Amino acid sequence: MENTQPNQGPMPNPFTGILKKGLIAGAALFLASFGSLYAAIHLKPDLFVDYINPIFNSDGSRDVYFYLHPFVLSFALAVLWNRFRRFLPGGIFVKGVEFGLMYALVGLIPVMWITYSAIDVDIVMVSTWMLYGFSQATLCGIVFALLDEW
Amino acid sequence: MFTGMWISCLIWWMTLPAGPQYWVLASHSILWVDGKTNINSFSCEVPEYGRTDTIWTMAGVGEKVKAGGELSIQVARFDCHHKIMTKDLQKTLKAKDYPLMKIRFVGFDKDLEKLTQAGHLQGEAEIELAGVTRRMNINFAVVPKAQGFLQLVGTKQILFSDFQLKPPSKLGGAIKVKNELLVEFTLFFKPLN
Repeated sequence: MENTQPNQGPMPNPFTGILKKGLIAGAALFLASFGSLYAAIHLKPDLFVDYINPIFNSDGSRDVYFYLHPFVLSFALAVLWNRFRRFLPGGIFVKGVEFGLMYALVGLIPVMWITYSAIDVDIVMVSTWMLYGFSQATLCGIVFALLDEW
Repeated sequence: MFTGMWISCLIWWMTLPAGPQYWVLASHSILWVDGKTNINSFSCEVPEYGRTDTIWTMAGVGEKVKAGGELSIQVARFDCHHKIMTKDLQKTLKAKDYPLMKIRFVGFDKDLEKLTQAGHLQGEAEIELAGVTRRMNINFAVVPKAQGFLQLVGTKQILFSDFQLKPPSKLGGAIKVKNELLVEFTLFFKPLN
């Protein structure tokens, strides 16, 4: 039987795509996250007074993990993007926002809910984490959509 | 000859240093600690020493006045007027392992007994914090108070690192407590006899 399918070339390796997307989005996220964190501390120091709290690590022993977080998140989101990008219509920005909303709904709201219910942190702090996570996922979504266009 | 010996003994006795003078530290003595972070400043206090203690001073032949006796301050009594900051300070000062901050007086440059007017004196003391002891000079402002009390207000800038403590930092070092702390003591002493 003759193959009627057009020749699409070799199948792209999904792991290469995830690695590339994870690294590029991770770098963008690193700059945006820590840039905005330092800017927010400088501009609105009052918001951060509650971080002087024993529940936050204070001896510097876990700083490396803290600074690796953008890459951990970008790789996790790259896997998610690889699976669900076909369900995201629209332009680059719309895709990014939708992706951010999807992550906020599935990942952030339940985690923030349990965090607020179990740990002695106030609602403002939890809300800023929520907004921060949504912004990070949106940025990743935009970077992923841009890379797909290329 | 006997009279001569007697006079010599009397002169020798007169040149001997006097016995120690004991002083009671009143329970309403206060300790303040002021510090800064890169986002705010904090002020923690032990609002009341909460007990009485005794120190002694002894004027020697030389200029220095020897002193002895120690103050033991419970680190758990530090209050930063912010529950979470209070907890954080106590954790930084390792309150669980070292519950007491101790101040041991070693000497003064003037005799406390002779201080009848407001003035200044310099004291030397050993400060023990988080299991590390450092000998320091402390400047005191002295004010005689009612009922025979002598108020000594001492200030000293210390560093966390002096006591092998690391100032806390949060969020990967984005929020940092500065190494310097200003300690202020307001001590009320009264002669025991």
